[in-house]
Amino acid sequence: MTGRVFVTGIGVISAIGNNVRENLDSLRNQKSGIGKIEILDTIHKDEFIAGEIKYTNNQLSDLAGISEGDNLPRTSLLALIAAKESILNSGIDLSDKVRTGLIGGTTVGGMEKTEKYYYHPELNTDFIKSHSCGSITEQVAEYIGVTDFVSTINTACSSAANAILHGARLINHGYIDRVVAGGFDALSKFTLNGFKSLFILSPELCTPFDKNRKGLNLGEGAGFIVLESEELLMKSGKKPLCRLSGSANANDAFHQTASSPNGEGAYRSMAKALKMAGINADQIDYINLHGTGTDNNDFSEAMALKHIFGDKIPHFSSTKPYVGHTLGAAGGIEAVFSILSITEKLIFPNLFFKDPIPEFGISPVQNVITNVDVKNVMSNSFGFGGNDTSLIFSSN
Amino acid sequence: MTTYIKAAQTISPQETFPDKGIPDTICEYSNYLKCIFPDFKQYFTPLQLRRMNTLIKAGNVCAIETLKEAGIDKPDCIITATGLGCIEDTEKFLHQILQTGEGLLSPTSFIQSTHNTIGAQVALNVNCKGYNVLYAHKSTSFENALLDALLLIKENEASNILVGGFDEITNENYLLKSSIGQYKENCTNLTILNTNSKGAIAGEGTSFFLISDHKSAENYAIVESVNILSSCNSIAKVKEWHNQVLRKNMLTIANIDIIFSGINGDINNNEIYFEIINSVYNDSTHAYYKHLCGEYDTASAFGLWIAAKAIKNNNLPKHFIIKDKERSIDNVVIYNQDNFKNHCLIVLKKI
Amino acid sequence: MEELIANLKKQVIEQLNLEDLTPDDIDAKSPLFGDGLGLDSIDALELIVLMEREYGIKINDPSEGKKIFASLETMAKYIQENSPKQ
Repeated sequence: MTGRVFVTGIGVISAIGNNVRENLDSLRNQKSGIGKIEILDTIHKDEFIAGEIKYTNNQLSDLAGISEGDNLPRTSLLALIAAKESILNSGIDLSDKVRTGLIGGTTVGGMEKTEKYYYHPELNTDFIKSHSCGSITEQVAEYIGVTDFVSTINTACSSAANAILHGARLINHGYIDRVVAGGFDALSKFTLNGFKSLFILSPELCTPFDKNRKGLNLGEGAGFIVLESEELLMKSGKKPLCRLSGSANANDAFHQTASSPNGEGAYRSMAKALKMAGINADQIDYINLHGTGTDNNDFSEAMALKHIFGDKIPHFSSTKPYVGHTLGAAGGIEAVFSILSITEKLIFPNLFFKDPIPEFGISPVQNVITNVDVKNVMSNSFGFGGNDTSLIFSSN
Repeated sequence: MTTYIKAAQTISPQETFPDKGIPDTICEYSNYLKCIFPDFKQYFTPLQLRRMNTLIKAGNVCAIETLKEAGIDKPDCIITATGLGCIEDTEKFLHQILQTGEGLLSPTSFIQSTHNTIGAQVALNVNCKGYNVLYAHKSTSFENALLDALLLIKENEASNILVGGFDEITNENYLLKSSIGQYKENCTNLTILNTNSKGAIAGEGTSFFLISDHKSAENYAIVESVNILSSCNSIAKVKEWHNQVLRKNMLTIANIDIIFSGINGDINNNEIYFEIINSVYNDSTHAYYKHLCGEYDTASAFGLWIAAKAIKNNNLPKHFIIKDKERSIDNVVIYNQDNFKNHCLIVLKKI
Repeated sequence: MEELIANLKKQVIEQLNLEDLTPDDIDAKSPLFGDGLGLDSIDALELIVLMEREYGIKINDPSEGKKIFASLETMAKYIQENSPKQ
């Protein structure tokens, strides 16, 4: 890719806040949003904890500034809130003639409604149309007014990161001039029970990269960033938040769900992202890990880190103890956090960590680091099916 | 960077797999079209087959034959597309949850319901560690995958890319969609052209292509460009878009020998095609293909298979043709849209 | 014990979707994982489902599975010792 692509806006809703400012406050104050499940109607309410957003769909609809209430899937509401914020934050006017894209990443789309009405279509048949991944992005596009290019990617937990990667590629080729890219997923019985059947849900707060980690906590939310071409930026004279300097995707090709013990896929995506950014490993100031807290992911990711960084691993942490594993939204929410690290000069901790994984002896950041010059941040997202993606955000 | 279709395979409701030509005769179906599958046991051991539902099997087998045709062991990248993913397993897991009240659940259905599992399994089988992505945006999914492949080749990121589009129909899904008028009931695939009712004819299929920058006399066609306009309900603007796309590709409407449209049996959707094609492409042959495969989000992948073969052999059987201008097949476009959304235009040229 | 193993073979084939394998294809003493039948971690989870559904035995920690599911014979012995249904 030849051109340079800049971040001009960010938007997020998660278990730690309804917008960027609230999320930032929680990150700064080391306040996790993982707790008891109250909104999702599941018999596992008392067995598992999650990063649930404590708003009903009607309340989310109000937050999104629309009157649809509970008629839209929860996923659409979350996506709309975050997308709108990122657009407002960027100052772009979607009614101008600039070619704009909207690209979303999600794993289960409108499943929250599907599982509610599947056995009761006599009550509601809207779910038939809103079930698919693409229909969520399409709904958001209709509300915000993007008509040029709308797309959806589903690569499990790396969906949003790939949406951002693809958006940047389209801008570099002049297919579009700017993109609103990110991801979204709502909690559902489908995913909760799915992960439960794989025995990778932790009954306690997750502890990524910890010797005694017991698995992941699910979460929900949405995270979007606005990317603009260099030409657009020069025309508007806008000051960007940062630049997306590297984005790369590789496949682990090891197993349908498990990551390889040597972390090869992760290594490849990280190495490729560094090459694209034109920087060396020692120029990375902070790594926002995929870090789910499962035995398998964390081991594999640690191997890859060692392979890339040797003994000089920079500050790293997983922010999933704050918001949970938000699946299709993860790459988007964590992109926003990575960008905040640069703009706010902060490095966020890996909450609840106690002891390092013995094979590696590496410890993540455990307290917020303030007033730090963060020039380059790497954000990892690794999905089922070995879909590994790494993004690098740079201050210049 | 010229981009070619080096290999093309499709598993469809017609006799098309593997390595078959464009069907002269059409298998007739009532209500919805189901694929004619090969014997999967010829390709995989029982151990391998245990972790594969029908769509995963079809995807992998189709990918294998495509690579075989291309003479390539391992592509540089794998880019796939699906509108709904593995609905058979999604339904299975959903039923398990609802019937057992979130009780004892089998993880295999959950894993196999994930959309990107097909592309992942192909990568696993051929040990391809390159770029791997799945597009899942309704009827632009396949075109987006093909577009991505073109961009990667343009960047010199890859030389050989496996691109696939697949969707399946289950009886349950058919019943749900026909209950809201999205699919037709009591119909056959042979009458979708002259329909007077709403609802498309439902179908399914799996198609894979090897997209390459290697020139060869064996290649099917050149993929000149892939164009997507996500939403436009002004006929005038859509017509202008068609003209703009062709201008960018150094073509005029007059150069287009065949336009393949996504006519699918829904009266409103059919009418949109007729209006645009009869006024814009009035000297081009108008052809359709969904009477062979039915309507599904990635049906244009099947359309590409037909178009690629038609260009290579300079021949298209009469049953595809709506309006015949008897032109030599050099420049072809494949146009699909869904009630003014997701306008997709693939432009192909003879090699 | 023999009847239990015979039933177990059929149930394992069905639970793991091993179409085209017959009970005669599985040796009760051979390892199920690794070099034997070649099952993996997901199959182990499916066997946990089978144990609970057919024999009322709840295995809460998948890592216990390694010993219990070493072979059909070890599975059968475990069922005899632990199943409330036997």
